Order: sequence, then structure tokens, then C-alpha cells
Amino acid sequence: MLLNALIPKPQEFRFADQAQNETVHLVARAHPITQIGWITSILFFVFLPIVAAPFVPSTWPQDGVFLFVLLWYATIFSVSLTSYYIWYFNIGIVTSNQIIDVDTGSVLYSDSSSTFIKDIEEIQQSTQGVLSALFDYGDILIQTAGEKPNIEFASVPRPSYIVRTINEIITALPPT
Amino acid sequence: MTQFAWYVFFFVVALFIVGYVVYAFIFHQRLRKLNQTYFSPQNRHLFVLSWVQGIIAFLLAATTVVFFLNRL
Repeated sequence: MLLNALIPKPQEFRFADQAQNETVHLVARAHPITQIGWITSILFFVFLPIVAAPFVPSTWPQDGVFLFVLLWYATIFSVSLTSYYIWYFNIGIVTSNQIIDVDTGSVLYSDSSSTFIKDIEEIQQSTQGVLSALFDYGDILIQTAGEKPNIEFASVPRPSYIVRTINEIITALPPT
Repeated sequence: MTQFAWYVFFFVVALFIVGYVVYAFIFHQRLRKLNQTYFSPQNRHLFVLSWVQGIIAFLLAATTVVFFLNRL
């Protein structure tokens, strides 16, 4: 599914630093409903030339207008594709050993932070607003010991399920 | 529009298309890199869309050249 925001036990998902005995328990990205802002803007810009067409003076050269409309829709396509790409590659990965947070801000910027499951000290879950209550999504903050970075999954679907999955992995860890 | 105004118009359009082609190329390269780091068969649809973006860039360039030659 192109808009799949929560993938439990993905069979064919792999990442570069994955250890041989490491299994991916889930992959999560922001709930699709949180993307409604840019989708609405794109729809507005898609229909704008159609609405504006009757007001274009007939004296304007046809080839110039056609070229402008072509550039307009090409730009809209690229902006949509980039917004989708940013959403698609903003992922949280929960494996049997670690939790990885991939942040993609643009086509040129992407970074990731990870923490080992054994270093997790506290998991906070929060849901805010009507939409998050209606569509069951929320933020998860995973706090780690000492100087290690905290991990945040923003606006992910079914946060209770994700927290429960992480807790189950922690419980299954051998005692140190 | 005067002939000079057309030249200016096509120059601006050409600049835009060069930017578009460069962006489409960078997008494809970054997609390949992220696909290597976080591989999933589902990533294939993004490659298809990336190729569509490349085809759009080619069509834009071709259309502009044809229109420009007609205006010469």
C-alpha cells in the first residue's frame, strides 16, 4: 500500500546496518491524515488554471499560454512528489535490537538516530487534538540513558500498539 | 509580443527547464541512496514516479525547442 503508515513485521524491509540476527518488528511513519495540508494546497493549485482559463484574454499567444500551463503542472507534480518522498522517508523502525528514527527534511537532507533497546529508560505517548483522537495517532518519545539521543516518532498511527510492541521486546530481553 | 520579448520568454523557460532537469536528476540519485539504506520492495513506486518526472523534463524541453523554432 502506498499510504501504509504502520507496517507490523515487514517481511522484505531491510536497512543498511541491520545485523544478521536482527529482525524488524515494525516500521512506522506519520498518519496520512497529517499530510492533508499539502494535499489540499496541491489540489488548489491543480484546479487554479482550470478556473482561471475563461479569464485569459484571447489576444495572448496560444503557444506561450500552453507552455506556461505545462510548466505549472510540471512544478506541481515535482512539489507533490517531493512532499510525498519526505513523508515516505520519515520513518521509525523498531527492531529486536534497536530503535531507529529517520528524519528526512528535504531531498538533500536526511539523518537518522538510533538507540539500543537495552538503553531505553522511559517511553512517553501523547495524543493531542480532535484529529488524533478520531484517527488514533500520536507522538511517541523514547527516552534513553545519559547522553544518548532521545528518539521521537511523530504522529504515528496506533501509538499504543507501538509502545506495547517495544515493551514486549524489552521484556523479552535476557536479564543483564 | 515583440521578437525580443519572445527571446526573453524562451530564455526564462529554458533556465527553468535546466533547473527542473537538474532537480529530477538529484531526486533520482537521492532516492537510489535512500533505497540502498532502507530497502523495501514498496520503494519501487517512487522510482516509477521519479522516472515520470524525468520524462516530464524531457517533454518540457522538447516542447520548448519546437515552440522556439516556430517563433524564429
